[in-house]
Amino acid sequence: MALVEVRELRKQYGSITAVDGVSFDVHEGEVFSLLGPNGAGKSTSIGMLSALIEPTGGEALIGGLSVRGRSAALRRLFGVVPQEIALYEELSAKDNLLFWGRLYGLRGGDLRGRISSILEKVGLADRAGSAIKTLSGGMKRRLNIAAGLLLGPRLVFMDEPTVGIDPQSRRSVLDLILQLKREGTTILYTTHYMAEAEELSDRVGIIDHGKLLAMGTCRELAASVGGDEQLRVALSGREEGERLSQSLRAVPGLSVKSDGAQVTVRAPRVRQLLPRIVEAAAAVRATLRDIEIREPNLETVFLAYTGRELAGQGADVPGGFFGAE
Amino acid sequence: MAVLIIAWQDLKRSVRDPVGLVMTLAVPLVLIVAIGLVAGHTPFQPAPVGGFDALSYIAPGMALFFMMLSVRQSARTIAEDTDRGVRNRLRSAPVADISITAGNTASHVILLFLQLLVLIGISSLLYGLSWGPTAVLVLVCLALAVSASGWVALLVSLGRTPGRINALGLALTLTFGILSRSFGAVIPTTPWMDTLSRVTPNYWGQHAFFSLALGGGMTSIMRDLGALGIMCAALWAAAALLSRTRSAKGK
Repeated sequence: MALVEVRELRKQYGSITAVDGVSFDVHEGEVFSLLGPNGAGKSTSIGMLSALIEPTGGEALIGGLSVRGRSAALRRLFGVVPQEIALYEELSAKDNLLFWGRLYGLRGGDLRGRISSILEKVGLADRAGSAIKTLSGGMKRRLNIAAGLLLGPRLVFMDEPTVGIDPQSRRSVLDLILQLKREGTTILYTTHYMAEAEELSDRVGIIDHGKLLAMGTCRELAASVGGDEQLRVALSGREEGERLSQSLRAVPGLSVKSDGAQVTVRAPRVRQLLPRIVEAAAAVRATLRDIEIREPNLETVFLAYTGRELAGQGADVPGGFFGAE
Repeated sequence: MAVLIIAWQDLKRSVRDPVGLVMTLAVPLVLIVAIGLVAGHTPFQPAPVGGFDALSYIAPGMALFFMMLSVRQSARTIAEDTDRGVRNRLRSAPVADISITAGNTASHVILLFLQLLVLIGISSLLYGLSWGPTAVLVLVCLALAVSASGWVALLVSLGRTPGRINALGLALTLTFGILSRSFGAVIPTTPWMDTLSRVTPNYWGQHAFFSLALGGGMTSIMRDLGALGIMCAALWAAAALLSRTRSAKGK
Protein backbone atom coordinates (compact mmCIF):
# COMPACT_ATOMS: atom_id res chain seq x y z
CA MET A 1 0.00 0.00 0.00
CA ALA A 2 1.37 3.43 -0.93
CA LEU A 3 1.86 5.70 2.06
CA VAL A 4 3.18 8.48 -0.15
CA GLU A 5 1.66 9.17 -3.57
CA VAL A 6 3.30 11.83 -5.70
CA ARG A 7 1.77 12.84 -9.02
CA GLU A 8 3.32 15.32 -11.46
CA LEU A 9 4.68 17.40 -8.59
CA ARG A 10 6.18 20.71 -9.76
CA LYS A 11 7.90 23.65 -8.16
CA GLN A 12 8.69 26.76 -10.14
CA TYR A 13 10.61 29.76 -8.80
CA GLY A 14 10.12 32.49 -11.39
CA SER A 15 11.75 31.11 -14.54
CA ILE A 16 13.58 28.35 -12.67
CA THR A 17 11.96 24.92 -12.47
CA ALA A 18 13.29 23.24 -9.32
CA VAL A 19 11.08 20.14 -9.58
CA ASP A 20 9.57 19.23 -12.93
CA GLY A 21 6.58 16.88 -12.87
CA VAL A 22 7.91 14.22 -10.51
CA SER A 23 5.73 11.13 -9.86
CA PHE A 24 6.41 8.19 -7.55
CA ASP A 25 4.95 6.14 -4.70
CA VAL A 26 6.54 5.12 -1.42
CA HIS A 27 5.06 1.98 0.07
CA GLU A 28 4.51 1.24 3.75
CA GLY A 29 7.70 -0.10 5.36
CA GLU A 30 9.85 0.77 2.34
CA VAL A 31 13.05 2.83 2.13
CA PHE A 32 12.86 4.91 -1.04
CA SER A 33 15.85 7.06 -1.97
CA LEU A 34 16.06 10.01 -4.28
CA LEU A 35 19.60 9.97 -5.67
CA GLY A 36 21.04 12.93 -7.50
CA PRO A 37 23.70 15.64 -7.40
CA ASN A 38 23.38 18.95 -5.56
CA GLY A 39 20.67 21.13 -7.07
CA ALA A 40 18.87 18.13 -8.62
CA GLY A 41 15.62 18.93 -6.79
CA LYS A 42 15.86 16.42 -3.94
CA SER A 43 15.50 18.87 -1.07
CA THR A 44 12.77 20.85 -2.83
CA SER A 45 10.85 17.58 -3.34
CA ILE A 46 11.18 16.68 0.33
CA GLY A 47 10.31 20.28 1.25
CA MET A 48 7.03 19.97 -0.66
CA LEU A 49 6.25 16.55 0.80
CA SER A 50 6.93 17.73 4.34
CA ALA A 51 4.55 20.66 3.75
CA LEU A 52 7.25 23.32 3.97
CA ILE A 53 7.08 24.42 0.34
CA GLU A 54 3.82 24.96 -1.53
CA PRO A 55 3.88 23.03 -4.84
CA THR A 56 3.33 25.02 -8.04
CA GLY A 57 1.60 22.09 -9.68
CA GLY A 58 0.70 18.43 -9.28
CA GLU A 59 -0.34 16.68 -6.11
CA ALA A 60 1.17 14.68 -3.28
CA LEU A 61 -0.76 12.63 -0.75
CA ILE A 62 0.59 11.24 2.51
CA GLY A 63 -1.65 8.68 4.14
CA GLY A 64 -4.37 9.97 1.81
CA LEU A 65 -3.96 13.60 2.98
CA SER A 66 -2.87 16.30 0.55
CA VAL A 67 0.30 18.21 1.34
CA ARG A 68 -1.46 21.36 0.14
CA GLY A 69 -2.99 23.32 2.97
CA ARG A 70 -0.44 21.99 5.46
CA SER A 71 -3.02 20.49 7.82
CA ALA A 72 -1.91 19.59 11.35
CA ALA A 73 -3.29 16.06 10.80
CA LEU A 74 -0.93 15.65 7.84
CA ARG A 75 2.07 16.90 9.79
CA ARG A 76 1.39 14.38 12.56
CA LEU A 77 1.98 11.55 10.09
CA PHE A 78 5.65 12.14 9.52
CA GLY A 79 8.92 13.07 11.18
CA VAL A 80 11.54 15.20 9.47
CA VAL A 81 15.31 14.87 9.65
CA PRO A 82 16.65 17.93 7.86
CA GLN A 83 20.07 18.31 6.31
CA GLU A 84 21.01 20.92 8.91
CA ILE A 85 21.45 20.18 12.62
CA ALA A 86 18.07 21.71 13.44
CA LEU A 87 18.52 21.81 17.20
CA TYR A 88 19.01 24.49 19.84
CA GLU A 89 22.76 24.60 20.43
CA GLU A 90 22.51 26.27 23.85
CA LEU A 91 20.25 23.59 25.30
CA SER A 92 20.93 20.00 26.32
CA ALA A 93 20.01 16.95 24.25
CA LYS A 94 17.19 16.17 26.67
CA ASP A 95 15.86 19.75 26.72
CA ASN A 96 15.78 19.76 22.92
CA LEU A 97 13.82 16.53 22.81
CA LEU A 98 11.48 17.76 25.56
CA PHE A 99 10.76 20.84 23.45
CA TRP A 100 10.06 18.95 20.23
CA GLY A 101 7.99 16.36 22.10
CA ARG A 102 5.84 19.03 23.76
CA LEU A 103 5.23 20.69 20.39
CA TYR A 104 3.78 17.39 19.20
CA GLY A 105 1.51 17.31 22.26
CA LEU A 106 3.45 14.72 24.26
CA ARG A 107 3.54 15.26 28.02
CA GLY A 108 4.72 13.82 31.33
CA GLY A 109 5.79 10.20 31.72
CA ASP A 110 5.00 9.30 28.13
CA LEU A 111 7.33 12.01 26.83
CA ARG A 112 10.10 11.20 29.31
CA GLY A 113 9.83 7.50 28.45
CA ARG A 114 10.08 8.20 24.72
CA ILE A 115 13.10 10.47 25.27
CA SER A 116 14.94 7.80 27.30
CA SER A 117 14.14 5.18 24.72
CA ILE A 118 15.16 7.28 21.69
CA LEU A 119 18.39 8.45 23.36
CA GLU A 120 19.18 4.81 24.07
CA LYS A 121 18.45 3.92 20.45
CA VAL A 122 20.79 6.58 19.04
CA GLY A 123 23.46 5.74 21.63
CA LEU A 124 23.34 9.07 23.44
CA ALA A 125 21.72 8.09 26.75
CA ASP A 126 24.85 9.09 28.64
CA ARG A 127 24.92 12.53 26.97
CA ALA A 128 21.31 13.51 27.72
CA GLY A 129 22.35 16.44 29.89
CA SER A 130 25.09 17.75 27.55
CA ALA A 131 24.54 20.98 25.63
CA ILE A 132 24.34 20.36 21.88
CA LYS A 133 27.30 22.63 21.22
CA THR A 134 29.52 20.27 23.26
CA LEU A 135 28.63 17.18 21.18
CA SER A 136 30.67 15.88 18.23
CA GLY A 137 29.39 16.21 14.65
CA GLY A 138 28.31 12.57 14.56
CA MET A 139 26.48 12.82 17.89
CA LYS A 140 24.64 15.93 16.68
CA ARG A 141 23.60 14.05 13.54
CA ARG A 142 22.25 11.17 15.60
CA LEU A 143 20.37 13.54 17.89
CA ASN A 144 19.01 15.34 14.82
CA ILE A 145 17.58 11.99 13.73
CA ALA A 146 16.29 11.28 17.24
CA ALA A 147 14.26 14.52 17.18
CA GLY A 148 12.61 13.36 13.96
CA LEU A 149 11.75 9.96 15.43
CA LEU A 150 10.47 11.07 18.83
CA LEU A 151 6.83 10.83 17.88
CA GLY A 152 7.30 7.32 16.46
CA PRO A 153 6.07 8.42 13.02
CA ARG A 154 4.95 5.99 10.29
CA LEU A 155 6.99 7.96 7.79
CA VAL A 156 10.32 9.76 8.14
CA PHE A 157 11.75 12.22 5.62
CA MET A 158 15.54 12.19 5.76
CA ASP A 159 17.29 14.86 3.74
CA GLU A 160 20.95 13.92 3.34
CA PRO A 161 21.40 13.03 7.01
CA THR A 162 25.04 12.00 6.62
CA VAL A 163 26.36 15.14 4.95
CA GLY A 164 29.52 16.52 6.50
CA ILE A 165 30.40 13.80 8.99
CA ASP A 166 33.39 11.48 9.29
CA PRO A 167 33.17 7.89 7.98
CA GLN A 168 32.82 6.36 11.45
CA SER A 169 29.90 8.61 12.40
CA ARG A 170 28.36 8.02 8.99
CA ARG A 171 28.52 4.29 9.61
CA SER A 172 26.69 4.66 12.92
CA VAL A 173 24.00 6.83 11.28
CA LEU A 174 23.55 4.27 8.48
CA ASP A 175 23.30 1.44 11.03
CA LEU A 176 20.60 3.41 12.83
CA ILE A 177 18.66 3.84 9.58
CA LEU A 178 19.01 0.11 8.83
CA GLN A 179 17.62 -0.62 12.29
CA LEU A 180 14.63 1.65 11.55
CA LYS A 181 14.16 -0.18 8.27
CA ARG A 182 14.10 -3.53 10.07
CA GLU A 183 11.50 -2.11 12.47
CA GLY A 184 9.27 -1.30 9.50
CA THR A 185 9.57 2.51 9.42
CA THR A 186 8.83 3.99 6.00
CA ILE A 187 11.67 6.27 4.98
CA LEU A 188 11.99 8.73 2.12
CA TYR A 189 15.71 9.36 1.90
CA THR A 190 17.67 11.79 -0.23
CA THR A 191 21.36 11.44 -0.90
CA HIS A 192 24.08 12.04 -3.41
CA TYR A 193 26.09 9.11 -2.08
CA MET A 194 25.53 6.09 -4.34
CA ALA A 195 26.83 3.63 -1.76
CA GLU A 196 24.24 4.83 0.76
CA ALA A 197 21.41 4.57 -1.73
CA GLU A 198 22.51 1.04 -2.67
CA GLU A 199 22.90 -0.12 0.92
CA LEU A 200 19.76 1.38 2.42
CA SER A 201 17.12 1.46 -0.26
CA ASP A 202 14.46 -0.94 -1.39
CA ARG A 203 13.98 1.31 -4.40
CA VAL A 204 15.88 4.27 -5.81
CA GLY A 205 14.74 7.22 -7.93
CA ILE A 206 17.40 8.92 -10.07
CA ILE A 207 16.72 12.66 -10.08
CA ASP A 208 18.51 15.35 -12.06
CA HIS A 209 17.56 18.88 -13.11
CA GLY A 210 14.24 18.45 -11.28
CA LYS A 211 13.19 15.39 -13.31
CA LEU A 212 12.85 11.84 -12.06
CA LEU A 213 14.74 9.99 -14.77
CA ALA A 214 14.41 6.40 -13.58
CA MET A 215 13.07 4.46 -10.64
CA GLY A 216 13.27 0.89 -9.35
CA THR A 217 15.38 -1.49 -7.31
CA CYS A 218 19.13 -1.24 -7.88
CA ARG A 219 18.95 -4.47 -9.89
CA GLU A 220 16.09 -3.18 -12.03
CA LEU A 221 17.88 0.08 -12.67
CA ALA A 222 21.06 -1.72 -13.68
CA ALA A 223 19.07 -3.96 -16.00
CA SER A 224 17.32 -0.92 -17.50
CA VAL A 225 20.63 0.38 -18.86
CA GLY A 226 21.73 -2.96 -20.23
CA GLY A 227 23.45 -4.28 -17.15
CA ASP A 228 26.83 -4.42 -18.89
CA GLU A 229 29.96 -4.95 -16.87
CA GLN A 230 32.67 -2.41 -17.41
CA LEU A 231 36.39 -3.10 -17.76
CA ARG A 232 38.83 -0.24 -17.53
CA VAL A 233 42.39 -0.72 -18.71
CA ALA A 234 45.05 1.86 -17.90
CA LEU A 235 48.04 1.89 -20.27
CA SER A 236 51.34 3.75 -20.44
CA GLY A 237 50.37 6.30 -23.04
CA ARG A 238 47.77 7.70 -25.43
CA GLU A 239 49.19 5.91 -28.49
CA GLU A 240 48.98 2.56 -26.72
CA GLY A 241 45.38 3.37 -25.80
CA GLU A 242 44.50 4.09 -29.41
CA ARG A 243 46.23 0.92 -30.67
CA LEU A 244 44.44 -1.28 -28.12
CA SER A 245 41.01 0.26 -28.67
CA GLN A 246 41.43 -0.16 -32.44
CA SER A 247 42.31 -3.81 -31.94
CA LEU A 248 39.38 -4.45 -29.56
CA ARG A 249 36.82 -2.77 -31.80
CA ALA A 250 37.31 -5.68 -34.17
CA VAL A 251 35.86 -8.03 -31.51
CA PRO A 252 32.09 -8.41 -32.00
CA GLY A 253 29.79 -7.58 -29.05
CA LEU A 254 32.21 -5.19 -27.35
CA SER A 255 31.58 -1.50 -26.77
CA VAL A 256 35.00 0.18 -26.65
CA LYS A 257 35.77 3.74 -25.57
CA SER A 258 39.23 5.26 -25.55
CA ASP A 259 40.16 8.23 -23.37
CA GLY A 260 43.89 8.96 -23.56
CA ALA A 261 45.78 6.18 -21.89
CA GLN A 262 42.57 4.59 -20.61
CA VAL A 263 40.38 2.16 -22.53
CA THR A 264 36.90 1.25 -21.30
CA VAL A 265 35.26 -1.92 -22.56
CA ARG A 266 31.57 -2.73 -21.92
CA ALA A 267 29.98 -6.12 -22.40
CA PRO A 268 27.47 -8.35 -20.55
CA ARG A 269 30.18 -10.69 -19.16
CA VAL A 270 33.32 -8.71 -19.77
CA ARG A 271 35.44 -10.59 -17.20
CA GLN A 272 35.32 -13.71 -19.40
CA LEU A 273 37.01 -11.66 -22.12
CA LEU A 274 39.87 -10.60 -19.85
CA PRO A 275 42.45 -13.12 -21.25
CA ARG A 276 41.60 -11.99 -24.76
CA ILE A 277 42.03 -8.33 -23.84
CA VAL A 278 45.41 -9.05 -22.23
CA GLU A 279 46.48 -10.92 -25.38
CA ALA A 280 45.32 -8.02 -27.53
CA ALA A 281 47.35 -5.61 -25.40
CA ALA A 282 50.44 -7.78 -25.80
CA ALA A 283 49.85 -8.01 -29.53
CA VAL A 284 49.83 -4.20 -29.94
CA ARG A 285 52.78 -3.88 -27.53
CA ALA A 286 50.81 -1.96 -24.93
CA THR A 287 51.94 -2.01 -21.29
CA LEU A 288 49.10 -2.69 -18.86
CA ARG A 289 49.38 -0.52 -15.78
CA ASP A 290 46.03 -1.25 -14.17
CA ILE A 291 42.87 -3.27 -14.84
CA GLU A 292 39.55 -2.64 -13.07
CA ILE A 293 36.28 -4.53 -13.53
CA ARG A 294 33.14 -2.75 -12.41
CA GLU A 295 29.80 -4.46 -12.09
CA PRO A 296 26.76 -2.44 -13.10
CA ASN A 297 25.85 -0.11 -10.23
CA LEU A 298 24.06 3.15 -9.63
CA GLU A 299 27.04 5.04 -10.99
CA THR A 300 26.68 3.34 -14.36
CA VAL A 301 22.92 3.87 -14.18
CA PHE A 302 23.37 7.56 -13.43
CA LEU A 303 25.90 7.86 -16.23
CA ALA A 304 23.56 6.14 -18.66
CA TYR A 305 20.57 8.36 -17.80
CA THR A 306 22.32 11.71 -17.44
CA GLY A 307 25.39 11.31 -19.64
CA ARG A 308 27.70 12.22 -16.77
CA GLU A 309 29.07 10.69 -13.61
CA LEU A 310 27.51 11.40 -10.22
CA ALA A 311 30.92 11.55 -8.53
CA GLY A 312 32.23 15.07 -9.04
CA GLN A 313 28.72 16.54 -9.26
CA GLY A 314 28.67 17.40 -5.57
CA ALA A 315 28.80 13.70 -4.81
CA ASP A 316 31.63 11.61 -3.54
CA VAL A 317 32.90 8.10 -3.82
CA PRO A 318 31.62 5.48 -1.37
CA GLY A 319 33.04 5.91 2.09
CA GLY A 320 34.54 9.30 1.27
CA PHE A 321 34.51 12.36 3.47
CA PHE A 322 33.19 15.63 2.17
CA GLY A 323 31.98 18.82 3.82
CA ALA A 324 28.40 19.94 4.05
CA GLU A 325 26.68 21.32 0.98
CA MET B 1 -0.22 26.16 24.10
CA ALA B 2 2.38 25.98 21.32
CA VAL B 3 2.91 29.75 21.66
CA LEU B 4 3.83 29.33 25.33
CA ILE B 5 6.10 26.34 24.64
CA ILE B 6 8.00 28.26 21.94
CA ALA B 7 8.21 31.48 23.99
CA TRP B 8 9.45 29.59 27.06
CA GLN B 9 12.07 27.76 24.98
CA ASP B 10 13.35 31.08 23.55
CA LEU B 11 13.53 32.64 27.02
CA LYS B 12 15.50 29.66 28.33
CA ARG B 13 17.95 30.04 25.48
CA SER B 14 18.38 33.76 26.12
CA VAL B 15 19.19 33.15 29.78
CA ARG B 16 21.86 30.63 28.71
CA ASP B 17 23.47 33.07 26.26
CA PRO B 18 26.20 34.86 28.24
CA VAL B 19 27.14 37.24 25.39
CA GLY B 20 23.53 38.32 24.99
CA LEU B 21 23.14 38.88 28.74
CA VAL B 22 26.28 41.01 28.90
CA MET B 23 25.21 43.13 25.90
CA THR B 24 21.60 43.60 26.94
CA LEU B 25 21.97 43.99 30.71
CA ALA B 26 25.51 44.20 32.08
CA VAL B 27 26.87 46.84 29.68
CA PRO B 28 23.92 49.27 29.99
CA LEU B 29 23.91 48.87 33.77
CA VAL B 30 27.62 49.65 34.00
CA LEU B 31 27.12 52.69 31.72
CA ILE B 32 24.24 54.02 33.79
CA VAL B 33 26.24 53.59 36.99
CA ALA B 34 29.25 55.32 35.39
CA ILE B 35 27.21 58.23 33.96
CA GLY B 36 25.51 58.65 37.34
CA LEU B 37 28.85 58.92 39.09
CA VAL B 38 30.15 61.40 36.47
CA ALA B 39 26.95 63.46 36.87
CA GLY B 40 27.68 63.77 40.57
CA HIS B 41 25.19 61.27 41.97
CA THR B 42 26.04 59.23 45.02
CA PRO B 43 24.77 55.67 44.99
CA PHE B 44 21.89 54.95 47.37
CA GLN B 45 21.48 58.67 48.18
CA PRO B 46 18.29 60.57 47.24
CA ALA B 47 18.48 62.52 43.96
CA PRO B 48 18.99 66.29 44.22
CA VAL B 49 15.67 68.11 44.79
CA GLY B 50 14.04 69.23 41.53
CA GLY B 51 16.98 67.78 39.71
CA PHE B 52 16.39 66.94 36.07
CA ASP B 53 20.10 66.52 35.53
CA ALA B 54 22.38 64.84 32.99
CA LEU B 55 21.56 61.34 34.20
CA SER B 56 17.80 62.01 34.07
CA TYR B 57 18.30 63.18 30.49
CA ILE B 58 20.64 60.44 29.34
CA ALA B 59 19.20 57.39 31.17
CA PRO B 60 16.04 57.06 29.00
CA GLY B 61 18.10 57.55 25.83
CA MET B 62 20.58 54.89 26.96
CA ALA B 63 17.77 52.48 27.84
CA LEU B 64 16.25 52.92 24.37
CA PHE B 65 19.63 52.68 22.66
CA PHE B 66 20.25 49.32 24.34
CA MET B 67 16.71 48.24 23.57
CA MET B 68 17.57 48.67 19.88
CA LEU B 69 20.78 46.66 20.38
CA SER B 70 18.59 43.90 21.81
CA VAL B 71 16.34 44.19 18.75
CA ARG B 72 19.40 43.38 16.65
CA GLN B 73 20.25 40.45 18.92
CA SER B 74 16.69 39.07 18.67
CA ALA B 75 16.63 39.41 14.88
CA ARG B 76 20.00 37.66 14.63
CA THR B 77 18.76 34.77 16.78
CA ILE B 78 15.80 34.27 14.43
CA ALA B 79 18.10 34.33 11.39
CA GLU B 80 20.44 31.81 13.04
CA ASP B 81 17.49 29.53 13.74
CA THR B 82 16.48 29.80 10.08
CA ASP B 83 20.04 29.02 8.96
CA ARG B 84 20.19 25.98 11.24
CA GLY B 85 16.90 24.65 9.88
CA VAL B 86 15.18 25.01 13.26
CA ARG B 87 12.41 27.18 11.84
CA ASN B 88 11.73 24.69 9.06
CA ARG B 89 11.60 21.89 11.61
CA LEU B 90 9.15 24.00 13.64
CA ARG B 91 7.06 24.54 10.51
CA SER B 92 6.96 20.82 9.77
CA ALA B 93 5.54 20.18 13.26
CA PRO B 94 1.75 20.30 13.69
CA VAL B 95 1.86 23.93 14.80
CA ALA B 96 0.29 26.89 12.99
CA ASP B 97 2.74 29.37 11.45
CA ILE B 98 1.07 32.17 13.40
CA SER B 99 1.80 30.30 16.67
CA ILE B 100 5.50 30.06 15.78
CA THR B 101 5.70 33.79 14.99
CA ALA B 102 3.67 34.66 18.09
CA GLY B 103 5.85 32.43 20.31
CA ASN B 104 9.08 33.96 19.02
CA THR B 105 7.65 37.49 19.24
CA ALA B 106 6.32 36.97 22.76
CA SER B 107 9.75 35.95 24.02
CA HIS B 108 11.41 38.97 22.40
CA VAL B 109 8.77 41.35 23.75
CA ILE B 110 9.20 39.89 27.26
CA LEU B 111 12.99 40.26 27.07
CA LEU B 112 12.86 43.84 25.78
CA PHE B 113 10.25 44.73 28.39
CA LEU B 114 12.30 43.21 31.22
CA GLN B 115 15.44 44.93 29.98
CA LEU B 116 13.75 48.35 30.14
CA LEU B 117 12.26 47.60 33.57
CA VAL B 118 15.60 46.44 34.99
CA LEU B 119 17.43 49.54 33.72
CA ILE B 120 14.73 51.84 35.04
CA GLY B 121 14.53 49.95 38.34
CA ILE B 122 18.30 49.95 38.93
CA SER B 123 18.68 53.66 38.10
CA SER B 124 15.79 54.46 40.46
CA LEU B 125 17.13 52.31 43.29
CA LEU B 126 20.75 53.35 42.86
CA TYR B 127 20.42 57.07 42.20
CA GLY B 128 16.82 57.75 43.21
CA LEU B 129 15.84 58.83 39.68
CA SER B 130 12.15 59.58 39.32
CA TRP B 131 10.70 58.08 36.15
CA GLY B 132 7.06 58.89 36.90
CA PRO B 133 3.99 56.89 37.98
CA THR B 134 4.80 53.17 37.98
CA ALA B 135 1.68 51.84 36.27
CA VAL B 136 1.95 54.28 33.33
CA LEU B 137 5.69 53.70 33.14
CA VAL B 138 5.13 49.96 32.84
CA LEU B 139 2.63 50.64 30.06
CA VAL B 140 5.19 52.75 28.17
CA CYS B 141 7.82 50.02 28.51
CA LEU B 142 5.35 47.45 27.22
CA ALA B 143 4.38 49.64 24.26
CA LEU B 144 8.05 50.17 23.43
CA ALA B 145 8.80 46.44 23.63
CA VAL B 146 5.84 45.61 21.39
CA SER B 147 6.74 48.28 18.82
CA ALA B 148 10.38 47.11 18.90
CA SER B 149 9.16 43.65 17.89
CA GLY B 150 8.15 45.27 14.59
CA TRP B 151 11.76 46.32 14.08
CA VAL B 152 12.85 42.74 14.84
CA ALA B 153 10.47 41.46 12.14
CA LEU B 154 11.63 44.05 9.59
CA LEU B 155 15.32 43.40 10.32
CA VAL B 156 14.81 39.66 9.80
CA SER B 157 12.98 40.23 6.51
CA LEU B 158 15.50 42.76 5.23
CA GLY B 159 18.73 41.19 6.45
CA ARG B 160 17.86 37.47 6.35
CA THR B 161 21.39 36.27 7.25
CA PRO B 162 22.90 36.69 10.73
CA GLY B 163 25.86 38.63 9.31
CA ARG B 164 23.74 41.11 7.38
CA ILE B 165 21.34 41.53 10.29
CA ASN B 166 24.27 42.28 12.56
CA ALA B 167 25.54 45.05 10.29
CA LEU B 168 22.10 46.43 9.47
CA GLY B 169 21.01 46.27 13.12
CA LEU B 170 24.09 48.11 14.31
CA ALA B 171 23.64 50.80 11.65
CA LEU B 172 19.98 51.17 12.63
CA THR B 173 20.79 51.33 16.36
CA LEU B 174 23.44 54.02 15.89
CA THR B 175 21.33 56.04 13.44
CA PHE B 176 18.31 55.94 15.72
CA GLY B 177 20.51 56.84 18.70
CA ILE B 178 21.96 59.86 16.90
CA LEU B 179 18.65 61.03 15.43
CA SER B 180 16.87 60.90 18.77
CA ARG B 181 19.80 62.25 20.80
CA SER B 182 20.13 59.10 22.87
CA PHE B 183 23.69 60.22 23.66
CA GLY B 184 22.49 63.59 24.99
CA ALA B 185 23.52 66.71 23.10
CA VAL B 186 26.99 65.33 22.31
CA ILE B 187 26.14 65.02 18.61
CA PRO B 188 24.41 68.14 17.25
CA THR B 189 21.24 67.58 15.22
CA THR B 190 19.46 69.64 12.57
CA PRO B 191 15.71 70.33 12.13
CA TRP B 192 15.38 67.71 9.38
CA MET B 193 17.05 65.16 11.63
CA ASP B 194 14.55 66.02 14.35
CA THR B 195 11.72 65.41 11.89
CA LEU B 196 13.26 62.15 10.72
CA SER B 197 13.72 60.96 14.31
CA ARG B 198 9.94 60.48 14.50
CA VAL B 199 10.27 57.18 12.66
CA THR B 200 12.32 55.83 15.57
CA PRO B 201 10.89 54.21 18.70
CA ASN B 202 13.62 56.12 20.56
CA TYR B 203 11.96 59.47 19.83
CA TRP B 204 8.53 58.46 21.09
CA GLY B 205 9.96 56.51 24.01
CA GLN B 206 12.12 59.39 25.17
CA HIS B 207 9.25 61.80 24.76
CA ALA B 208 7.02 59.57 26.91
CA PHE B 209 9.70 59.02 29.56
CA PHE B 210 10.46 62.76 29.81
CA SER B 211 6.74 63.59 30.05
CA LEU B 212 6.30 61.14 32.91
CA ALA B 213 9.52 62.22 34.67
CA LEU B 214 8.37 65.86 34.53
CA GLY B 215 5.10 65.02 36.25
CA GLY B 216 2.87 64.10 33.31
CA GLY B 217 0.32 61.30 33.48
CA MET B 218 -1.49 58.99 31.11
CA THR B 219 -2.93 61.83 28.99
CA SER B 220 0.53 63.26 28.34
CA ILE B 221 1.73 60.07 26.64
CA MET B 222 -1.33 59.10 24.58
CA ARG B 223 0.22 60.51 21.40
CA ASP B 224 3.44 58.58 22.03
CA LEU B 225 1.57 55.32 22.62
CA GLY B 226 -0.47 55.87 19.46
CA ALA B 227 2.65 56.54 17.40
CA LEU B 228 4.32 53.41 18.75
CA GLY B 229 1.22 51.36 17.92
CA ILE B 230 1.07 52.67 14.35
CA MET B 231 4.80 52.07 13.94
CA CYS B 232 4.45 48.48 15.14
CA ALA B 233 1.57 47.72 12.75
CA ALA B 234 3.35 49.34 9.79
CA LEU B 235 6.61 47.48 10.45
CA TRP B 236 4.90 44.08 10.77
CA ALA B 237 2.94 44.72 7.57
CA ALA B 238 6.13 45.70 5.70
CA ALA B 239 7.99 42.66 7.04
CA ALA B 240 5.17 40.29 6.07
CA LEU B 241 4.94 41.79 2.58
CA LEU B 242 8.69 41.53 2.07
CA SER B 243 8.80 37.91 3.26
CA ARG B 244 5.87 36.92 1.07
CA THR B 245 7.41 38.56 -2.02
CA ARG B 246 10.75 36.85 -1.43
CA SER B 247 9.16 33.50 -0.69
CA ALA B 248 7.25 33.64 -4.00
CA LYS B 249 10.54 34.27 -5.80
CA GLY B 250 12.15 31.36 -3.94
CA LYS B 251 14.77 33.55 -2.28
